[in-house]
Order: sequence, then structure tokens, then C-alpha cells
Amino acid sequence: MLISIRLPSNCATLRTDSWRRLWRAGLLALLAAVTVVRSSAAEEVPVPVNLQAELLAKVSEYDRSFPARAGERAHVLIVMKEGNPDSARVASTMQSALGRRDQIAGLPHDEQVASYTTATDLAIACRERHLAVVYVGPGFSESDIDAIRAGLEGVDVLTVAAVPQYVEKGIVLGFDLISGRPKLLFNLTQAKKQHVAIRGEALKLMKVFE
Amino acid sequence: MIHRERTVLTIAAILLAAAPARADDSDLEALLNETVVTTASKSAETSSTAPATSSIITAEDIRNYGMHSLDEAINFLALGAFTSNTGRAVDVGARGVTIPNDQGGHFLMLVNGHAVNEPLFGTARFDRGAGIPLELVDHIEVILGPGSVLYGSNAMLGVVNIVTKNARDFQGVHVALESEIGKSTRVAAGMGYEIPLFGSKADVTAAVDYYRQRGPDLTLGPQDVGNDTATLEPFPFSHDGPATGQWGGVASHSNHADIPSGHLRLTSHGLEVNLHASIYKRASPFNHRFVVPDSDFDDPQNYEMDRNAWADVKYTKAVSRLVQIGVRVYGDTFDYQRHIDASARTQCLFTVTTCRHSVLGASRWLGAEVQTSLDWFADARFSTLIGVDARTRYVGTRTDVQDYDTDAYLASSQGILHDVDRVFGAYLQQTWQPTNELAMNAGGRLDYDQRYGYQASPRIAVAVGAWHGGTLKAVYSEAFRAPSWAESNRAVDTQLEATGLGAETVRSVETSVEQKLGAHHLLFGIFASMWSDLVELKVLTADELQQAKDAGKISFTQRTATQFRNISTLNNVGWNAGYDGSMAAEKLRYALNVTSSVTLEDHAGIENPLPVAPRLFGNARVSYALPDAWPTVGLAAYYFGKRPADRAFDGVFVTRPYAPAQVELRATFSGKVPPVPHLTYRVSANYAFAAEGPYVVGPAQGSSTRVVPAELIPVDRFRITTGVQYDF
Repeated sequence: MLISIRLPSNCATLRTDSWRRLWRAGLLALLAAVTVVRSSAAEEVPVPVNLQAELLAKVSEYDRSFPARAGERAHVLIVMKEGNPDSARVASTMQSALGRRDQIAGLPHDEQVASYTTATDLAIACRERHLAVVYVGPGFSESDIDAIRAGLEGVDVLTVAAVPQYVEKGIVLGFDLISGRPKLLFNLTQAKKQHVAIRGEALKLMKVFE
Repeated sequence: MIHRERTVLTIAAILLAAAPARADDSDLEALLNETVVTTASKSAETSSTAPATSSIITAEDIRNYGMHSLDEAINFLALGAFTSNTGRAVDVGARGVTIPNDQGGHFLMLVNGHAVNEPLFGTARFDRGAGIPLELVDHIEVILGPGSVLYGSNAMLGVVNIVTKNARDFQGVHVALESEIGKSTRVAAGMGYEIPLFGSKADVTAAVDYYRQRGPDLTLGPQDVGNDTATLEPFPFSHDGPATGQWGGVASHSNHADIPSGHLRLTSHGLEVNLHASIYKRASPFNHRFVVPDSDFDDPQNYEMDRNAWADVKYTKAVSRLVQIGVRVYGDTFDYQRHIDASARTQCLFTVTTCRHSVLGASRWLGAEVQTSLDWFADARFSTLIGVDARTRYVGTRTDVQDYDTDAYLASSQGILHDVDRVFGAYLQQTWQPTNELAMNAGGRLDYDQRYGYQASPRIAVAVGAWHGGTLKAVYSEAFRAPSWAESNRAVDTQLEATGLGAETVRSVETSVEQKLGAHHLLFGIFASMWSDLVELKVLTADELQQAKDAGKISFTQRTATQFRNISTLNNVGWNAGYDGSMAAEKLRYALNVTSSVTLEDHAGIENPLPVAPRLFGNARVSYALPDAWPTVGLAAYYFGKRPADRAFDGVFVTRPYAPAQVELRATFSGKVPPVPHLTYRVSANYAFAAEGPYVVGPAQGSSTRVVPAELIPVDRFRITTGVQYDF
């Protein structure tokens, strides 16, 4: 917007020069910021991780398949993107937040953090280690999420996303922040493929993708 | 008072008892009803652990209860905060404290974290002049209590952060048309998309808005002003009508506003860009005490105008599992114009019959903030936030009086100010959550301003999860407001430049208890605050006036003069309570907020209640989403207790002016237009029971005028607003 208020002439000169310098500096900073944007930059995780952990644990109680899937102990795998500090930070925080809970869905539990390699490896880990929950941290590309969705079809596991956009792409459960309040996101199609059966009283509180 | 408290607690107990019986469901609902705020400590956290009392106004509430502007939303929906409309701009107060005619200067206003209070007058527009299209608003965080610890100046009463929607919640193109029948029209268009950017995706939302208001006609006066002392003839209030010595009549040309505005936000992998521009041109048929109250009545050429534009670029990056760095650069420009015609020779330097008074002002600033957060154990339990914020500012202003007919300047410009300065702030905040039940937050900020030196703002807060769903919280905090440049450095014929003006300060202590049960949330808190060195315009004593004349600081012809000084103190104590909840799968929502306080202003040893501030304030609302094609019905109300007008204690009126208690009700119906997909409507009706607000209007401002009763600002009591929105 052009500002054309009349002020004393010496004042206007001072204003014009300083203002031009200020805007030039701002423009340079903007360019610098845009230039350094890479996929490793912080990705939006709108819901605090501690609150995500509480929601994850609570929703698990509504999963009819959870006891059968978990057995005597709920194993949770937290998957992070290798080389992405933000992903590592969120994974570590989630491990700590879940670790402070006595139980998940009434069961003792343990959490492990692992770097993502391939969807096939993830599916194998789910089967071999009887994982009840796989939490997917930030930093994954659309193709990664596509691969995880396809790779886990038929695998009995609850996948949970740190980033809300992952749910529509094929992660079963996620968290968004709408008007300052957390919202549960649920991919029903993928849930059926992964044998996740959430009871109706919880489902009615979720935004469901089909 | 005790009876009122008991009633509130009884109602809350009954509503809590009606909460769902199943603990599991209620726990999940309780978690989903947690509010997440980012303003109190510059990071996302639940409001129960945040180091302040906070409330959130959601987009859904704004729509369901028919809110059209930020000040309406605060009055009807927020906890503890309130606004008062002066006709020129709104004042914002909280918990029984408001500074009359400060135009938002004691509340810090943020838009997506960007501070918009300008340094020349220290103001921020909390009405439609904020220029944020409401369709774009995701939620508004209202943080009560001193907030300078992270934000610096102006955050004395609290911080309001307007957070706009992301593309997921504002997908596609939206067009809205709204009209307050016979008075105003608003058109808005917005969009939200994910777009490719540098091989990645960016989330872009934007909206433009144009609001035009004409009327309503207001009947004012008559106020008998008598004769113009220069001509000894009746005082004229019109350049083409007869001089009657009477101010008032039907004002049909001087109550209007035009507000074009636009806002854009782009986010992508840690980068956030906000661009904003708005113009706020408005007029009302009355000015306040220090703004030429004897100007021509209902002159269509009298107006004020703000022009505001800013850009804010923020980039956040996790450099390791433990360290995150954020860099922000921002630039703002704000300018202000006021043009007022006056037709009395005493108002026109005794030269011409009609003259035009103009005030021009501009402020611009460019700043950078660097912030580092250290999550020492990578578990968000022990984190340190360190930041520095530096800005360079330009301010300029001048006042002119011109011949109405020829535009010739009648005298040299006065109040000339043009200056460039640099201000600096550094802050440190430590959070520690040793257990799930205990959260502690301590920090401080040091600000430097060349006009008054250093100012420290500490804060310490503790939140304890004392029992299931219950949280106890205690907060001690301090804040300040740097005097505006107009206060500290401006001088005109009748006003001496201030000398040694310092920052206003406030110390506050508060404690609260919160209880959550399912979708129900109850809060009760008590607070006390002590305010020092409030800046006020003081009328010089005879001795001071003579000294100023002897020193050549003021003309020997002046009979009175003023000067901004740190004069008064405030002591404020009170309680607030809030309750909100929902039933029937959130179809039925309701809330109640009540604040009661006692605030005394000590002005040069004389103690009085604080003008304009209500001792009792509250709001209540209920909405129900009817099934199928039926509308959502929202009912909202707010209440202000009887309060002294702005000139109650210094106006020397025979009868002290008090504004009557005010109740304002609003009913809103909103929903889909059944035959047309994607088309929604909203209709609301508003009724205010009291006809007057707490500001004295017209030339009869008190001691400087003849002995007449005070006339209080009229309230537009009945309004109907209709609107439609089409989502493509």
C-alpha cells in the first residue's frame, strides 16, 4: 500500500530512505527464508504431542480389536524419518509421553523408536513383533504414506499420525486442531483393512474419512 | 455479592451433575474439549497448564452467535475481557480495569502472533477496524493478565491473538454478503488451497473484505454552549447555517465507516508468511474531550482514517532433536489522519470564520526476532526458550489549521514530531513438568527504549493437577506499556512536551481452580493487580503554567495548558468464574462467564472508582443445532453493571454522569438454504436495553464549559443483520 501522508519535507526524505532500506532488508530476509525451506524443516504438528499421547491411549480403549491384537502387552512402534530432526524430536517426545502412562487400553506397554526404511519392513515388524500401534512422526512424503498404507493392508495394527494430512492419505487415526480444540481424524476405509474397529460412541466424536 | 456467587456456583454444580455418567466417554470428551493455546508461552499447550487464564472464541461460536466484529465477540463470548465503544474506536478492558479513550493501548493485539499495536499513539483496533475478515478466523485466544514477559509493551491487561484458518478448514472459494438492514453492507471473498511450492506443498488462505456503514441517524443535544468568546455572538456549529449557540440535532451525515481489508497467510514446512492491509475510515458526530469537541455538528467532511499494512515472515526449523530455531522478520506501516471543520473564531486562531483542523501521523517499523527453544531431554518436559526482538521505528506527526475556503494554512504546523529510534527486547522462559500433574513456567523479559531506559517483566506460574480433572493454578506476572510517542514527545500550543515520562507498569497475582468433567468445564479464579505510573494529561497549575511561560515553552497568551505525566495508580481485586459445556453430541452448547471486581484509581491522592470500568460484567450463551435442514439457533447476552462515565470524576458536572446497567441480547439463526447446495445463511437480531454508554459527548465536557448536564453517548439499540455465504 502506498502511503502518501504529507509530512515536513526533511521528515519525508528521512522516512523514504529509511523505509526503503527497511523493506529491502525485509525482502532479502523473505528470500533467504524461502530459499532454505526444505522438506527437513519443521512440519506442522498442530496438537501437542503430550495431548496426542493421551488421546491415542484413550482411543485405544474404544478399539474392539485392540485386546486381541496386543495380547498381554501393547507394543508401540514410533516411526521417525531418518535425518529429520523434527521427526526425531516428536518421536522422542511421544515415547516419553506414552512411557509415563501406566497402561494403554488396560494393558502394560512398551515403546520403541525406529527409523523408517520401507513399508515392507514395517509390515514385517508389525507381524513379527505383534505391534499394537504404529505412530508415524512428521517428515514423511506423500509417497511414503502411500507405501505405508498399501504395505499395511491386511496387517492387524492401529496406525496413528502426528500430522493430520496423513490420515486422508491412509493412516488410520490422526489429530488436528480446529478452533483451538483437538479433533480426532479417522480413515474408516483403511481401518477396515487393518482390522481396527472403533466403537460407535468414539466414532461419533471423530471426523471420518471414507 | 455473596448471594450472586452462591447462585453461580449452584448453577455450575447442577450443570456438572448433569454430565454424562460414563467415565470413559466423558474422559475422551474432556480431552477433546481441552483448549490448546499458543499465545501464553509461545508454544502449543493445553490451557489448563498455560501460565495464564485464557479463553478461546471459536469460529463456530462466531458464526452461531452472530458475531460481526472482534469487539462483539469479546463482549459476548470471552471470559473477563470487555470493550466499550467511544464512537471513534473501542477501548478494551479486562477484569474491572479499562483506561478510558486508550483505544486498545493496554491490550496487546496479535494476528497470527504478529503484534499490531502501533508506537505513535499506542493503539490497536479491536472493532471492525482490525480489518480481519471474520470468515478467515479460526479462533481468537484471549489471554488475561500481564503478558509482557514474552511480548514487551502494551500487554498490561492481556493479549488477544487472532488465529486464521488453514487451507484444510477453508478449502475452496467462499463469497459472503451481509447487511445490517438500513445501516451497513459487507462483502467478503476468500479462498484456501494447497499449492505446490519449491517441490513441496504450501497451505495458502486469503480473504478480502469491504464494509460500508451509513448511519444510523443519531439525535443528540441540544447542548447550550453560549457565545463565541471571540465574537460575543452565539457559538456556531455549522459553516453555512445560523449560529445558535446550540450543539446537537439529528446527525444524519456524520456516522459512517468504510473499511476495505485483506489478509493472506502462507505456510509451508516451517515457513509462515502473513500479509495484511486495511483502511479504516470512519466518522461519528461527537469527538472526545481532547479532540476539538466544539467542531461543526454533523459535518459530512469530518472524519478519521487509519491505513495499515504489514508483512511477517517466520521460519522455524528443528536443527536437532533438542534444538529448534525460529527467525522472524516483520515490517509494519500505520498512518492516521483526522480532519475536523470548526466554524467558531476561537477554534480558528481568531482569523477566519471556518477552519479545518488536521492531524497527520505515521509510524513504521521493521523488526527481527530470533528465538531458540531447547528441549533438554527431548521429551518436552524441561524446555528453555530464549529470544531477542529488535526493531527500528519511524514516527512522525503534525497538526495544522487551514482556512476552510482557501486551504491556506493559518499558522505554522504544530506538534511536529519525526523521529527514528530502536527498541530491543530479550526474553528467557523455562518450563518444567516434573510429573504429569505439575507444570511450572518461569521467565522474564528485558526491554530497552531510549526514552526511558530498561524495563523488566518477570512471570512465574505453577499449575497442579490436584485431582482427577481438577487443576489449581497460581500466576505472578508484571507488564508495562511504553508511553506512546504522542504522549512522550509531542507538543502543541496548549500542551507541553512531557519530561521524563516513564513506562506504566502493572503487577498481578492470581490463582484459579479448574474442573473438567466430560464436555463440562468450570473455572473459578481470584485476582489482584496493582498499577503504577499511569500516563495522563494533566492540566497545569497556575504556578506550573507561569514557569512554562517564563521558560519560553508556551505562549504568554495561553490561559491553560496540559502535559502528559505519570500520575495515577490503580488497585484492582476481584474474582471471575466461567462455565462451558455441551450435551447431545455437542448439538447443545452453552457457557456462562462472570467477573466481579473493585478497582480504585488514586489520582493525586484522591481515590475514585475507575471510570468506564464495570464492577460486574458477564456473558452467557446457548446454542442448539436443530436436525436436518433446520437452523442452528444461538442466543447470547452480555451484562455490564452501572458504571461511571469517562468524565464522572474530572468533569465537574453537577450530577456525576453514570452509564446505566446494560444488557444486550442477540438471537441468531444460521444454516443451509435447503434448495441451494453450498449456500448458507445467517440472520441475527440484537437488542440493547440501555440507551446510553459510558462516554460524555458533545462540547459540554465539564469544567471548561458552562454548567450543563452531561450527555452520554447514544447506543444503537436494535439491529437486524442478514447474510448469506456461498462456498464453491
